[in-house]
Amino acid sequence: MIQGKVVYVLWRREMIKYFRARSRVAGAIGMPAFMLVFQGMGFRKVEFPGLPESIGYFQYLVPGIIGMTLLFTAAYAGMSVIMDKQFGFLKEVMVTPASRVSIVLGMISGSATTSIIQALIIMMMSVLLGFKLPFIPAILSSIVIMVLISTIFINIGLILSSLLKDFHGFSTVINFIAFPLFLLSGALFPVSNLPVPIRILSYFDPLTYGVDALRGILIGHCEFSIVLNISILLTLSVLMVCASSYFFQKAEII
Amino acid sequence: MSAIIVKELTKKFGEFTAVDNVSFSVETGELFGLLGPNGAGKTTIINMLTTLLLPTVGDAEIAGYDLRRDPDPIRNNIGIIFQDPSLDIGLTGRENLEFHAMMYSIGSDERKKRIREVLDVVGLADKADILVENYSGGMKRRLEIARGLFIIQRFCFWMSLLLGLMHRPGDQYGIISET
Repeated sequence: MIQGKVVYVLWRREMIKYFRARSRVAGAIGMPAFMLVFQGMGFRKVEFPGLPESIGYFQYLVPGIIGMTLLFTAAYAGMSVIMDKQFGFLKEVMVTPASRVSIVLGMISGSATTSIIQALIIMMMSVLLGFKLPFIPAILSSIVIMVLISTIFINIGLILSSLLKDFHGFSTVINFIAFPLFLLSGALFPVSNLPVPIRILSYFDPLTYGVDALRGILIGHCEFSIVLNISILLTLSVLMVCASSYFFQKAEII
Repeated sequence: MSAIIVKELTKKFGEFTAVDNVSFSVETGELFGLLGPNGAGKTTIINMLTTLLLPTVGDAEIAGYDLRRDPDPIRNNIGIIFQDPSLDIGLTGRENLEFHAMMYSIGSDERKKRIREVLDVVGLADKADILVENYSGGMKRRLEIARGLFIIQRFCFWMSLLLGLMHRPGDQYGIISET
């Protein structure tokens, strides 16, 4: 059973802490912003094989960098669970009768909101650099895709955080997971340019479908159909929520 | 029937045995103290009884609920004051209490009233809106106690009763009481 108050209070806690820690906002935006400026501007004039001529590289890159922002901020959400563990606050959460599903959903909704705020800031920045923004309905539907993308990667972080205890272990492992997912996803270049064995791996990367869906909606160009992308993202999101609820139920999280 | 029944409880962390074959029972209305030197396993026992850790061997029943099978009804019946800090120092005292109340799904009016009451009891009413990271050690401890008193449950686990309040070396104990 899902308890609304529990989900809400965990979401609100995340919001309060996010807006109190301005450095977190700036820090997390830094990397994708640099990528956007240097990668985007540097390769602006390059003609990439696998790209229709009507779409410039910068237009093509922006949804990829939005995906990157979501991937990294979402995957790092597990870090706050590790911090709660070290500060002892997680014990306070886990002894309450709140259902574990509600706890997981509360953590997801908080982190998804912050990830999406970051992604929207990147989107606004890209407009300043010349990104042609689609109409409002397309932007709104891209937010739905962002919810699915961040849900998937938040859960990877949550599962990891239920198994690990220390900051260093967590950030080493999450980097080891997130970086290949980012490079394989086609965020920077069309996956079709990769050699076949690596391209096959990219089909197992959830972000491949996330970035492709964002491209379909934001710049009207995608490799798979939007319906396929959304079905894969939705299925994975649901499975991942179930998986991390299971881990929070079973693991001794203190 | 006893309110808490602990049967041959054992907890191992890898090779290390933290709690070795402990059995006891607590009657309704009894004030039960768990005494022992550092590292005796008092905290581990309480962590198991409050569903935070699973026993390696053995069983326990609280209010007739089995620790392994029914952790949820047990959580609905217990309150706990931890010995280690367990506050969110990035929130204010009031926000910590609000968080706690909402995790127990307590309604808004009741919540506000109870927060005022417990803050008065521990003497933090005028410090409630300061971030906990700016609290002194004693104030943090009092906030933890306020949070423990917030919801009067059937069972109250109180670890290291006097910790941070009136500390004397060697004084360490946990108390389990049923109200």
